[in-house]
Amino acid sequence: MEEPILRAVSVTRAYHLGETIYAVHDVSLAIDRGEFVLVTGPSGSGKTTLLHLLAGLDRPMSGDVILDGTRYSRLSENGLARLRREKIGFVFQFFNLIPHLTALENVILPLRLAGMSPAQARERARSVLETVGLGHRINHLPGQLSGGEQQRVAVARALAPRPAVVLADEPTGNLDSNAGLALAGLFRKVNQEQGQTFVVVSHDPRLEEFADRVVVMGDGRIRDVRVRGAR
Amino acid sequence: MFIGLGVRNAWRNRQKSLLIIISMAVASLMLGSALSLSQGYPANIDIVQRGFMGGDVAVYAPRFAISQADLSGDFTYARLPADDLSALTDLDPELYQEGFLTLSGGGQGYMPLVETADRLSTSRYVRAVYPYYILPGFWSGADKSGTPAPLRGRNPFLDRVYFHYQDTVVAGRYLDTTDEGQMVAVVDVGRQRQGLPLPAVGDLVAVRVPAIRTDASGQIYYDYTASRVFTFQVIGQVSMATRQYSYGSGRDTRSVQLYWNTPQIMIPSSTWQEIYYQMSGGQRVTAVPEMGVILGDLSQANDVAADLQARLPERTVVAVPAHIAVAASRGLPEPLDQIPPEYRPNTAPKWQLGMPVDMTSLIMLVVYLTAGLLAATNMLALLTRRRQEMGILRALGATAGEVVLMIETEVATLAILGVAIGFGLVRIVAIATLVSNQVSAAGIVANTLADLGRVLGVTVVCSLVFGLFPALRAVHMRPVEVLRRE
Repeated sequence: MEEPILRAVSVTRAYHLGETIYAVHDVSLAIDRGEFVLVTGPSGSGKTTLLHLLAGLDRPMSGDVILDGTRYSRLSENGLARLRREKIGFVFQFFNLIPHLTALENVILPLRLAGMSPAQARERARSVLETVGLGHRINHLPGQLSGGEQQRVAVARALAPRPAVVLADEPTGNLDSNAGLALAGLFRKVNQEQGQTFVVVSHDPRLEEFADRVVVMGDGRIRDVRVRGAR
Repeated sequence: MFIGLGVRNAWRNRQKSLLIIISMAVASLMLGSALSLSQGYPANIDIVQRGFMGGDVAVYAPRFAISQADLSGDFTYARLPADDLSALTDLDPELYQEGFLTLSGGGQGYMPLVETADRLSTSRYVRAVYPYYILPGFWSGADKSGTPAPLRGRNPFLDRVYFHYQDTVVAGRYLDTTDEGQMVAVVDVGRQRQGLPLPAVGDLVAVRVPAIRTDASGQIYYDYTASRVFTFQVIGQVSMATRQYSYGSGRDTRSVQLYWNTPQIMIPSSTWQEIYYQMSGGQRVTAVPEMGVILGDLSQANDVAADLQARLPERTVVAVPAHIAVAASRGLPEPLDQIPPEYRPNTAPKWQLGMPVDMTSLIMLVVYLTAGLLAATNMLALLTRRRQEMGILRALGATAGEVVLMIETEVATLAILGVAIGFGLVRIVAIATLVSNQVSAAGIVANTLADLGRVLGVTVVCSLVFGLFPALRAVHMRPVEVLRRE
């Protein structure tokens, strides 16, 4: 049986705010290569924190995360950064685009980090932006784009380097109903055509139809796991 | 990529980074000034005084303790000979009257002529060496007999070519090379201002000269009990206008023309040497109290003076304009009697020649520390507002080193912008000085590039050192700490 590409092993992340609040409590989760996993649950259930732990943006207080055989606990902050640039694409809930770079430059950034030549990076970024429907807005700054457009730039930035794992935090949160479904469809298409692994956090129940598996969280723990159809 | 981002950020944030640009501009302006302007002078500065002293750089026989380093060595107290006649007595009377500190054995009033000239000539900047030939002399006329009339041997060729002394003539003519060996003289009309007899052109002047002796240590002294009178025909009078002195304020501002006044009876150098020969009992001149050094380019005068000082550690070497500036700040050497006392400079000695410690390095250090701290503060404030950007870069996979590289590039770019402003401003003046000295275009370019390299190097290194703290602070975080808050 093939090893999972991404695995959380009894990870716990707590915050000390007068009392200890467990955002993620002893969560173990294995995600197979090429799987599309939807993580859902109410606000404050620990979805985003889990996603940050899976991306190595945050470190668990206990437990470990393993990506493609690499244990995060053994990596320095720089080691984690290199792992992210090589294997992870991340879509933030609030876009987190660099405000003084154009849409195109924001997408070029991870490509250049990955070592692509400037010309290749530009070409690839342009192509991905066209795929998400922003071919006409590539030279606009984030501040000149709507929330939905910024979200699509953030998606393009995550997809452009063709990472092994795409982690997306509420990627459809700022899109209207149809655009949200279209984006989810794009994720699924990429997932199926290129075999990239997707872990998507969302409140939107309509995204369940795109997922291979739905993980339901509550109070920092996994409350339910639903497997949807054969891949 | 991060270098490119840094440059772009610098340009984008230039208005928010004005403190960095201005502080670096001021620092590079000061360093640029220290390197460029303090080095040298326009070609015609203090031409009369330089001519009088026979050079752009003066070498004095005694060695004054000129730095703290000297004082930590073996030094003693010394005085110039009572009959010292070098320009020091005009420019720095305290050295003559009250003595000075010197390195042990460096207080002699005379230095070997040929050996010193040879050592000076090894510098490629030295175009000519002009010994200061001087002998005590006393007016031997009926009126005011015994008043000073020192005999000064002048080189007509150097005086005409380098110092344009023919332009100072107010009556008759100046010495010419054909006058060498002749008993002819030129006098300064300043003698009259000093209350001394002023012979007219065509008059005969009789000067009593003492015998020249050498003591056991080889030092020259004068025997006034054995003297002889020499007679010269005056062929010209000169008047050495130096500067305009303005005083008062507003409508009451007045300006007075000042003159260099000398009682010297100026005669051709070979005539002077013949008199020396006769009065020393058949000796050739082997020692002089002072020596002028003519440079090809005054824009390097201070640097060359420092270089020559290193070659002649037992002597004192100064750029004449620097020495004149020190004297002028004390109301010397031109008499200011006609100016109301309240407008005269304070004549009290502020420092002994060469005594002030060279504070340039210390001042530069303080200036750059201040500029660096301002830059660090500015950058810290800027980066605090840009934590999200740093967090995004880290989240996308930029390492701490890459983000530091970007920030350091940004700081260095701003510093370079500062250098462009500061150094550019000061260089305009420096280039004007170089042009006035007829330095070639290639020389100006080479000189400018050398100074630019030094200013740029120091400023960029300073900005990098001080930019490191805010840069390291900016990357010392987990991306999620920033992104969660934003």
